[in-house]
Amino acid sequence: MVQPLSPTAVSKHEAAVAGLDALDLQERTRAVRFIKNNVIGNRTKKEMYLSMGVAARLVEFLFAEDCDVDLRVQVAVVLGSFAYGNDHNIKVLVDAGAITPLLGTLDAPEMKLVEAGARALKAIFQSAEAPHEDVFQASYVESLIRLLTPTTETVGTCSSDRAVPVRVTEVAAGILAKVAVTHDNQMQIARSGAIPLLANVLDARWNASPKVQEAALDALANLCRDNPTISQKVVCCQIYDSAISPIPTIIKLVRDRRPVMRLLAATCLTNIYRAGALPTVYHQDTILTLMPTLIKLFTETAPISTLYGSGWATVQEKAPKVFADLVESSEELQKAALEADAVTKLAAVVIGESAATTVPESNELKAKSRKDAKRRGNKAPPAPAIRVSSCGHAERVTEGFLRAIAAICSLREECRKQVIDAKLLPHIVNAMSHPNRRIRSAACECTRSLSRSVKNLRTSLVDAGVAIPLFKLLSDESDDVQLTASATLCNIVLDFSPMKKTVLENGGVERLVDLAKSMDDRLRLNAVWALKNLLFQADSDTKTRVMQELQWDGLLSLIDDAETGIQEQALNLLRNLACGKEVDIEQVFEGLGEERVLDILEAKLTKSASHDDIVLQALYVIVNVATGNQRHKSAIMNRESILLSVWGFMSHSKSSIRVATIWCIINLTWTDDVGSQERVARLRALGFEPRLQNMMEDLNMDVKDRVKTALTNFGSLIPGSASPGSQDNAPAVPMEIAGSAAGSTVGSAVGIANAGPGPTGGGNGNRSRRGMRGAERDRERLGDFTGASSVVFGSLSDATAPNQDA
Amino acid sequence: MPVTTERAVEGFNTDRKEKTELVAEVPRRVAPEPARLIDRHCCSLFSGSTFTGEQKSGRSSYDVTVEIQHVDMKNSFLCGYLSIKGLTDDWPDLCTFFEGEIIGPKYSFLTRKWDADEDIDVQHWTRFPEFKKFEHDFNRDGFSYDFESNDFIFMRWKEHFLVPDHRIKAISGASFAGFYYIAYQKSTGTITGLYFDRDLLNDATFLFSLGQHHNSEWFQHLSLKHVPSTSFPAFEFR
Repeated sequence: MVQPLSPTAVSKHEAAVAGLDALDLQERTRAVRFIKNNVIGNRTKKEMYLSMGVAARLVEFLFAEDCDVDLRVQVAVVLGSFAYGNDHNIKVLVDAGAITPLLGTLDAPEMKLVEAGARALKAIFQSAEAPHEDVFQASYVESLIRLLTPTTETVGTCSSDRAVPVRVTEVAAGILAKVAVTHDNQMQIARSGAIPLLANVLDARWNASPKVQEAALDALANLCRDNPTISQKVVCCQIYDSAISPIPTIIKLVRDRRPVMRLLAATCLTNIYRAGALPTVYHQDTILTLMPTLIKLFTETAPISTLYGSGWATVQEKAPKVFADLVESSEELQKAALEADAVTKLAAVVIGESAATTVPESNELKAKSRKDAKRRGNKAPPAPAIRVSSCGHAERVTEGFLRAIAAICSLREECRKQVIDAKLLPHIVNAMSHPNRRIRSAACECTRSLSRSVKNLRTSLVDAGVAIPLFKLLSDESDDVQLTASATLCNIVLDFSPMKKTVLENGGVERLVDLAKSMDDRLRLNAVWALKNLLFQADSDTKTRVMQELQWDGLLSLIDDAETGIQEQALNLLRNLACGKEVDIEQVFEGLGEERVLDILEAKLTKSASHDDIVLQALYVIVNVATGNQRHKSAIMNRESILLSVWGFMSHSKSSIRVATIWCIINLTWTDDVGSQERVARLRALGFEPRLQNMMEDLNMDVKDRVKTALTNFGSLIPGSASPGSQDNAPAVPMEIAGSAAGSTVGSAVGIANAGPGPTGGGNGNRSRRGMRGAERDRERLGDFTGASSVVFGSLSDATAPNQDA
Repeated sequence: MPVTTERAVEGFNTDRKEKTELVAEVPRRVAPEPARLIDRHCCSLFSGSTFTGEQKSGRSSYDVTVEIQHVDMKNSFLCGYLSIKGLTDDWPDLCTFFEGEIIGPKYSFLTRKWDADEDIDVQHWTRFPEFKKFEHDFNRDGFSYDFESNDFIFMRWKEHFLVPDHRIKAISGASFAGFYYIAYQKSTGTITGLYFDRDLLNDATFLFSLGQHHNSEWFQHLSLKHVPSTSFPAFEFR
């Protein structure tokens, strides 16, 4: 609570401001001291002075020739005080040009000026919005790094020779932690030699100064974030040339007595692990130490520092986010987290948080929280240039916990089950319409993780009614929310999801097609992904509907998108369109034009030959088109370049691609299809047959089996050599099973096998079945080889089945 | 290990010296893109594949269709729908959703749940001749069945709820309280299964003691064959 200032008091302050313009140095210094004594710890007076325009004048003093060190120190302290924990004030200081002159103080010969300047800078850079680029000009980074080597003496005794007190090292490390925002920033700081110096202060000899160790961990953590090179550097550097990696020291600090130290050490280790730089020898230790530590910190309400962005933060806000970073891409760690009971702990906080009106927090923080609320109530919204993230502590906690939940169940079905069983879903769905966009996004991310499961899509997600809230988020004001919502929708529109219908009925196709035209690559990717999933096993009506909206030109531009990931999805969409009946293939030929379809395939298989994902999809478009009528098959046969590409990919290192190439050949060569003899002859002329024979011993079983089918179509496979045990072919056929499943086909399958080699092999036995669907034909052919190697289950009740030892 | 995007390592993964790093343009840090969830499947076990056949129960048999919805070999997991025709008069077409545990590094032959003890496990698994070579080893410490290189994949299929309406909990004349022991043969695309349900077994034992039931009729068994397909759509979870 603050009393309104009395008129006399105001005039006193006006006098002080006037004093700043005095010619006399002492008078100026007195005025600055007066202001300093008034503003420290007094928010109202800070704002009053700033509104009187003192910032620019004070900044001038930092480099004015007629100001002495004492005055500059006082000025730096005042500026630091203004900046302390208040984004709006920071903006005023930034506009007054405070950053560069403050950076200039870092090289001052007088340590007390360096310290005051550094503290002011640290306060300014606490605001995420403060521009940090200036730090990377001139040699300011080097100046900061010179401060990272503390001496044991105090500033009082050694100020002249610039001995660095450890508390200044702490401030310098704190600044580096805040300004390492971009990859370039990180690299510049690392190149200037910060890494070993920061690692040095983690050494036990600095254990008496835990604050400097915390700051160093914070800096290292931010330098390592998403940066494999720097993470590697940290792992390989040596604390005081000891030939020991800092990792064991950091692991030790994860067990520190102080919660903030534990959090920061855990963050550091997590970032190194995420970057893929943590040596395997430390993995076990990391899991055993990090996981329980982070989980315990879920309920730790200690403040991280007295200032943080627009207010303050607690360990509890940060720990779940670090936990999320740690486990999000590792199944192994998600399992470890599950075993450490993380879901229960997360659920306790989330459910507690929304049930109780009071947030579980310390009294001190409650007081702060009330003050925050008051402040927000009394004041106009902050200036738009620096947008204060208005979410308070409780909201940041909620967001953090939702992020952790989304991460823990992103990859394992058991984890999803636990999240559902913990009854978290209603809270998640509520949070999807929270006013805070970061909470909406985090909640949507939870739904996304949970929706990677056929079971959940059929049950709990339907019961919780996620479809409509999710659909609304597709048009959210926040891009981030749209992004996670569109990613989630990819799963919701799958064939086995009853919510597919809801999405279609609510204009889902239209909205997705809109998003597929977005300027944002990521949104475009999600949209085309969702449309592709929507067309998985879709009927012709749905296909027509999607193409009416998307248009063939729209599909074409996605197929030729600048992003290869989008090309891949668009080709998969084309693959799904061309899958199924002859009319589906015909629709593709008519829509895109026959020549265009072939041009696309040719281009993808040659120009994108190094992109396995694109090649795979292009090959399956061919596979599916090749199930069509003679015209469809001829179209492919007449493009020799496509056939040669297929030939080339038959020796690809990935078995999935090899399988796809063989299916192309199989579908082009079914012996009772019209024109098959010509196609077989043509492929034989191109050298496909010996190539297939070379693949008979492929290490991949799936490839090997398909190769056999293909060679049978060529009529070149000697029956009986297909697989071991097939010599005694006849009695081994699984009579009971085949009898009911495949009707009378068993007999004719044997017939084919016995028909012997030759271009029309099997033709006789099959002539009457010309009209059969491809699936049935395939079954017959597979019967040649597969029936032989005994399904021993002929009769369960009879333990002496004759084929048992086949 | 977490996957990092190309972009995140671009510019320093090469031999280029520091000077080029300075000019390398990487606008902001790029967080690693989460791993893709591309299905790993196996022969005729893939998302969208169908098996047809029958379930025999005593002297009756019923047409069965199994549609595999999702296969994730990496997690030793698959799931799908199992439809039975004519099992009860009220439900001429009964369809359930099931989840399958693939015996391997993650799931052992020992069930340890669903009312199945070791005796039950042995009693059922040994009905599959292919299992016989593991009969003496399967319970040994450190034993893990290698489903990658063997022709047979063993599984347990557990039905969870009805499709389309998962809210229906009970159906008169049918039960899915038990689970299937399953053997799938890659080379033939055939699936055989044995149903186990503790309550049914108790009833059967009782009837057997009265001489009203033949021993083999305890086992309700499933025989299915893959319905081959020649064209292949694809989806991927996001």
